Amino acid sequence: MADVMRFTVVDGRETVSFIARSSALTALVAACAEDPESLRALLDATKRYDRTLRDEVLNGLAVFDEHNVPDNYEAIQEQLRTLPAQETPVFRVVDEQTRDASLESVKAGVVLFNLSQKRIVQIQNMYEAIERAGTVNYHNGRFLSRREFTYELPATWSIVP
Amino acid sequence: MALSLEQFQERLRVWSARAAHEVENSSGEIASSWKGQYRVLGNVLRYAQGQGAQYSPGQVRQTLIEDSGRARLRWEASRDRQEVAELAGEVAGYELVLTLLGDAGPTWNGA
Repeated sequence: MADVMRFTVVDGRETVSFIARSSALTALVAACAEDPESLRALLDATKRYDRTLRDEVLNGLAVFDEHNVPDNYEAIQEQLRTLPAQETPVFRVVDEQTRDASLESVKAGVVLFNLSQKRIVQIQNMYEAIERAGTVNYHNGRFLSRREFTYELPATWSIVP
Repeated sequence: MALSLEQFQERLRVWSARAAHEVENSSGEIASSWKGQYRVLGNVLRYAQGQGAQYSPGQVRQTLIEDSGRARLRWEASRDRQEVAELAGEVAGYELVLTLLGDAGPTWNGA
C-alpha cells in the first residue's frame, strides 16, 4: 500500500473517508463530471473508470457499520489509534477522532470531495495535478490499463488550490 | 459536530508540526507547498490562541475566509513555480482549517 492517499467525501448528509491507491484520484475526479450528489452516486460513477473502487469502499462501509454503532465507536477509535495510517479502514466521520483522521494526509496526500458545494479540495496532493478536463486510464482492479476515457468537469465545479 | 477551542488549537498544533516535518523532509515544489501550509497553520494557531480566542467559530471562520480569498488571488496571479507551490500550500492550509470549522457549530463546545 505504498502508493496510496486518503480520500474524504462530504455529501451534505454524511462524511466518509477511505484510503485507496493514488490513481483512484483521477477516477474520482472524472466521476465528478457526472455531477454526483451523494457518495453512492459518486462511487457508482467511478465504475466506468475503476472496476473495484466502488465495491471496496462500500464493503468497507458495511464492515464499519457492522462494528460501530451510535454511541459506541470503540472499534474504529481503536483502529485509528493502533493501525498505521495507510492501513486504516473505511470509516464514517462520527466524532472528533474520525474527523481529525479524515483530514490527515496519508502517503501521497489527502483530497476532499465536497459534493454539496461541488468542490474538490487538494489539502495535500503529491500524486498528480488534478485537471478540470482530461483523460483517465481504466483500472481493472490490478493495474491501470491502456483503455482511456475522457472527462470534463461541469463549470459549476471548482478545484482548489 | 461540536468542537472546543482547545480541540481546535490542538488540531492546529498537530497539523502545523506535521507540515514542519514535511518541509524538512521534502524538496522542491512539494517542500514549498508544505511551507505555505505550515505558515498558514502557524498563523491561524497564533490567532486562535490570542485575539481569535474571544470569537465564535463562525466569526473565526469568516475572518479566515477573507484571508483565504486573498491567498487564492495571489496564487492565481503568481507565475513563478516555487511561489505557486507555496501559495497553493497556503490556500490548502486555509481550506483545511475551514473544513474543520465548517461543522463546529455556533459556539465553541464547552464555552
